[in-house]
Amino acid sequence: MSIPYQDWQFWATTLLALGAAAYLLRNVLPVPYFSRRARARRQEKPAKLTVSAKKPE
Amino acid sequence: MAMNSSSVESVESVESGEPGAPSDPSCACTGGKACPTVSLCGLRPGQGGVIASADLAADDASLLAAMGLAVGSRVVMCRVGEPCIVAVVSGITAHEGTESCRCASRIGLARPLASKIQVTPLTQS
Amino acid sequence: MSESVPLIRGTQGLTTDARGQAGSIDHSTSDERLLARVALLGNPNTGKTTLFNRLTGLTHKTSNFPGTTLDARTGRVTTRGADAGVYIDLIDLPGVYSLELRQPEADVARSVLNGELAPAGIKAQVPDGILIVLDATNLGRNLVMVGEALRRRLPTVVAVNMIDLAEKRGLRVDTGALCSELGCPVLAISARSGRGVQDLVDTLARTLRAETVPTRTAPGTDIELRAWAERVVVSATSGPSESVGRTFSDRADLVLTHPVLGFTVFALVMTGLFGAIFTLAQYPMGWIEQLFSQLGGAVDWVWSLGGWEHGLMHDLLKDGVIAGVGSTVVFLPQICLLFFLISLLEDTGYLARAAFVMDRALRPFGLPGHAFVPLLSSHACALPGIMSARCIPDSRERLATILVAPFMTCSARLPVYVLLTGLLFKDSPWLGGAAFVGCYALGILAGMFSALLVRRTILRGSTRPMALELPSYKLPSMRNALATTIERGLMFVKKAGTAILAICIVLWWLGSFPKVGAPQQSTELRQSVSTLADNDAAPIEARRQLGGDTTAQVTAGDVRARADRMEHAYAKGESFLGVIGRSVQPVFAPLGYDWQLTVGVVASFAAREVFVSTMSVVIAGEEEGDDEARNQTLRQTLASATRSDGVTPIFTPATSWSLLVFYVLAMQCLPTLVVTAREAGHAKWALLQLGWMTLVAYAGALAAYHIAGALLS
Repeated sequence: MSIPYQDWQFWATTLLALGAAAYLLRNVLPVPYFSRRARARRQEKPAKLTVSAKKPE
Repeated sequence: MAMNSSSVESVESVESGEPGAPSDPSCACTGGKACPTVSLCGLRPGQGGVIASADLAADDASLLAAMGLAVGSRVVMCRVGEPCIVAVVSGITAHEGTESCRCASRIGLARPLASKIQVTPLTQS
Repeated sequence: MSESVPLIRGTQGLTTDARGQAGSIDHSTSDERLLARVALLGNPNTGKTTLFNRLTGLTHKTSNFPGTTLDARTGRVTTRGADAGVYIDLIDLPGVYSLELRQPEADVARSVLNGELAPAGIKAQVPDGILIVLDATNLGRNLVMVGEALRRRLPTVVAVNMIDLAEKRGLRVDTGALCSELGCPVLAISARSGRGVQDLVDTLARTLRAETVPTRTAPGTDIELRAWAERVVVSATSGPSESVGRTFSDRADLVLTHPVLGFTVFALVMTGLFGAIFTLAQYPMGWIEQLFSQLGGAVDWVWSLGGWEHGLMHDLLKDGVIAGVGSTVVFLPQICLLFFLISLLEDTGYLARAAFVMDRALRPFGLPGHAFVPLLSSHACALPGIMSARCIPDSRERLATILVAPFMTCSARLPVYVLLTGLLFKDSPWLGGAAFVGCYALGILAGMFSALLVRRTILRGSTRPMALELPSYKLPSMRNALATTIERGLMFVKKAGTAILAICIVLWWLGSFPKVGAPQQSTELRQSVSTLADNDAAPIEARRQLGGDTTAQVTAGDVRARADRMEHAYAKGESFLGVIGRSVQPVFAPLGYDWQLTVGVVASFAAREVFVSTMSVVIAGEEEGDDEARNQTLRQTLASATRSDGVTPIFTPATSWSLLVFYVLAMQCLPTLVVTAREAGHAKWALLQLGWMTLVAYAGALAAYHIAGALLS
């Protein structure tokens, strides 16, 4: 049994497989930085005014 | 919302002895007495009625009211049973003692829901 | 839904809702051709979707309103004439009966109109105008929402849709009278035929340019608003009285909602629907399989062109990527056909009646009649089925439907059913067909009883009685059906396709490493024909090693091919996937599975469709291809394959029944789990779904194995 470490294709395919596994798990595991919800939360900015042009409390 | 507050109004009007729909010429009751109400399921196919009250949670009542089944709305029974299908009519005009409606939408109601809606039946379809 | 709608707040100060006072339309966008953003509003069943599709073409985008599971559709309307070259961004708001209701759809509509919410990716701001769609045959109720919208003091245009239907009934709508009553432009249109739609666009563009707000307003209280709406209807319409109770729709409803006749019609319609899907879909499915097989050949061709050896990248591309994409795309015809036909049925108005018929059947299990469309759709694929559970108003009922939807037999299970019923009933196709139907029935029963259990325990509550508007019957719109089909098809390819592709890449890697040497048997076979050409007859020792009739014509090429398959199967068995299968095998031993079957079952926990190909490779060393004769041979190989003792068949009748029941009931689809987590609002529901279905599948398979073993021994 052997792992073909010397073959560059092994590393290329392993990286791709790791990327695929990360893609599958990102919605299941709490990886905050990559989660879409966390990204959306970071992009939200506080409102400067509410409806009726008042300042928010 | 409208249904619950008006159901209180209709209860008060019953207690005071005022007719439920005094200006309605096709109302089944005689003047001076409170109009008897029946549940929506109690209407015969083709019979009309005016919604008097609904014993429902506020959210359900307001949804039904928004769909057209509000207090004071005129309905015509299309199908009794499960489901109960009523036509909510609007654009009602009277001509030579006969009423006609221009528009109607059909609402299907499960029987448990229909039984909680009280209507004042009308004599004419 | 009790969750509040989180706000995507705009970066600019929000203007007041009295847009006329606040100032001019915000042109601070980088795109100078954008005239305005308009919210499309209307009651359900007013033809809003048809109008949206007609105005925006098939180029609209579907996303969702952040923090909700409601679809948000946005599209671009191109103007002409004086405003030629500019466009209007149209946001399709959910159909609502009133803006003041406390329900997710009304919350979203209000928030968008307040400038507090926008579809994902769009800046939240008060829309520059409102386009309201009314049903000409039902103005009374529709006008209530017009009154609510007029209070917003935004430039408003009203479209009275279905004018052709109204005219057929003799109903005349005086748009001039409506215009003076409402104080804003009113146009009569037919979104279905396109009549008046271009004038509508021109009027909308003019109103937005001039920023004209309505000159009238509606009363504030509900009772006054309804009385106002009634007065407007009387003044703006004329024509004969609607013959309530005697129209075609009313007569049809007596049959279609009848407890016996209605159910019979429903059963016939569903039989026709599924019959059409399975009959028609097989042709494009065959073409797609051929296409992907050609693509595999194209990869070989590219490699030979470059003069490269068939290394790991070649294998990943051919066996991982192309196989992965192919295994998703092959289901597309069934899914598209299902949604096309459901959309047509919905457009006719029949589905609303069918919901009441099914309500009787589903209510004892704690599910509402609305649940039948998601459960029906799940028979093609649970992904879009779960997403269409959004139509269920009650949150507990919606959650229960989402949890049990994967019990419905989906397209991905079919290749497994075909393999196993073929093994069990190879001489009696009728019994095989009956077993097929039995699998569907078992899935439905398991789903219903799981729903009942869930509704009596963790999602306790009484089933909300249904109240549903019954739209008039009409001929369906092909345009709408096509738009829905394209939308759902793309959604499936994007969500499932990307996940299944990722699964196939991971499974390929796990099945490819570590690399092992050839097994002794294949080395001996190769040695025995090392000096022979492919067409030469193979020596007797080689034929003896292969087993079977030693007098049969076997060439050296056949022997080498057999050695290839042995090495392939051996490599798979010794890979990480095989190791996982062997280590987990004791768990599945009570169900009658050896390590090879366990590898197939474990691999298919990510995606069911890989079971057949995984089994084929692990046992026979090759997968099914285009050659049907070769596929037959492959199936015979599977049927006669033995376990490690070399004697006991892998697929005994008891094991085959156990596998069949397992695949009917198990949750083996990672994309579905992901969508469940998203639609249900938390990963715990997806984990519950996985745990419960695995438990039910295990128990069912165990019972099937022992019962079949006792009856058939």
